[in-house]
Amino acid sequence: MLSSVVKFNKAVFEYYVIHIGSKTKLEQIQNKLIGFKKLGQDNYPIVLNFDPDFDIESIKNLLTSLKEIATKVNVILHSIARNDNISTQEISGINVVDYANAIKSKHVYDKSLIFDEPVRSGIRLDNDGDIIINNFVSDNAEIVASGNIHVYGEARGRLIAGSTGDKNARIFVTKFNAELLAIGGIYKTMDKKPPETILGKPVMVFLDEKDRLNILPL
Amino acid sequence: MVKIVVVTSGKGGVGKTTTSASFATGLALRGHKTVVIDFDIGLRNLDLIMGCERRVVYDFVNVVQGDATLHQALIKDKNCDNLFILAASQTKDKDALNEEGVEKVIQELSKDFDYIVCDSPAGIERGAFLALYFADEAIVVTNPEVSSVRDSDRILGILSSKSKRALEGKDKIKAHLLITRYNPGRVESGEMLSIQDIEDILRIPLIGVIPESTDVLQASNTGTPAISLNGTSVSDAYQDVISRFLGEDKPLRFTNVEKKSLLKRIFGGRV
Repeated sequence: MLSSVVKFNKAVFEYYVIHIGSKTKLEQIQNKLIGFKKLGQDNYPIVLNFDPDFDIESIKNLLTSLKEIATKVNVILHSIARNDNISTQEISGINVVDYANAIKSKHVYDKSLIFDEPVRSGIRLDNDGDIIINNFVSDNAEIVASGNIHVYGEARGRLIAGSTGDKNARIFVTKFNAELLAIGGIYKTMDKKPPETILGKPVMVFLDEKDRLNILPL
Repeated sequence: MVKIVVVTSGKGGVGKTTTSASFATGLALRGHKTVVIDFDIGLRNLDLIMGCERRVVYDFVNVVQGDATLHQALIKDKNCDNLFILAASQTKDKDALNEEGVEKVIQELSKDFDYIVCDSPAGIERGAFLALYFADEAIVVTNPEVSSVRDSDRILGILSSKSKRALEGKDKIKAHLLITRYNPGRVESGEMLSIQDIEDILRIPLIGVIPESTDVLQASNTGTPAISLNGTSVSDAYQDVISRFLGEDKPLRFTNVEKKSLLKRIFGGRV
């Protein structure tokens, strides 16, 4: 899959890290950088993280083309992450920095948002990460999380999990009566009254392998 | 210590002004010095319901804009010495109010009065916002139907996020649920939401249930607050609301279908 070869991680520091593996094509990197620009994230410097199977020579070769691409799309190549193969302080004029643990981290969400108040009609909660609501959610309230949603109370409003495209996100509700559910962009309006098996019951909502939205009583 | 109470609902026509008039009158009749302010600039109604529309010389907007003193604008109720009315302007619109001006008026009133009742306009725009902004407690007036309940829910969200108390991180506004135009017969036949349904959605403590009654229209037409129509169910229900507001424990009345007597059934309902 493309995403496993080239991907951006917004790590805990204010840089974007681009992972480059042995199978990565230049074209893919260029596309990523262009997409990155489109996100309006061009103020962030980029850190290059090469797979350990690259040797210094192949990195140097790659860097010449990478620099060209960087100038073309106008992003800053900030530094190269140190790994076991890289021992110099700089390669082709780009500093090598030891990011050690930070690089290893997976995608880092912001902290979970924990909300103890009722979420009334017309209120919108938005968080890059999980949202945990320890109260009820009214009709026409909107909960938008890039991670999972937990509602420990009656949930009536619109619940949108995985809002940035995470299809593994899930929704947990202790008393189900939502009007709209969405995970990773797949949505379902609860136009008809939900069946007795789930209405007012604890449920889990998730996407199955065919991208169908499932509501499972717990 | 003054208490500022806003009577609000979100939706129009549910009985905010009727409630404001009766609530303020009820508090005043029990010996508390009370002022009721009409925030519905441009659509002033409170003075009509209080029966003082012909005595308005200066109004709330004149005071806020510094054209008149508070003393000049306050109208004393004809039946009760403890009750004063601050009427809205009919010729201006809601943008005539500003936060500083309203705050000044409320601060000045706080020196003399025990209760300040703010009659909010419908909607969630400037007038409604200013009416609830300074409140300590709120009476959320709701009819037993879905749109009214949803709008009340929205107003409760605004109370807990945009009021002065919320912004300054003080204790939250204490919100009370008042259900008006309640018709037990229509609830029983499933045409109206029940008290339980409304409480399930809004989840704030219930302060009273006012039955649907033709007496309310009669009261408005004659410029008498509904609470003053002694002997009617509406008046009794509002008296109970005042008692509960002042901390007494009163059982709910007028929430069950009255059994019609044989004579009533024969000669029709309106006896």
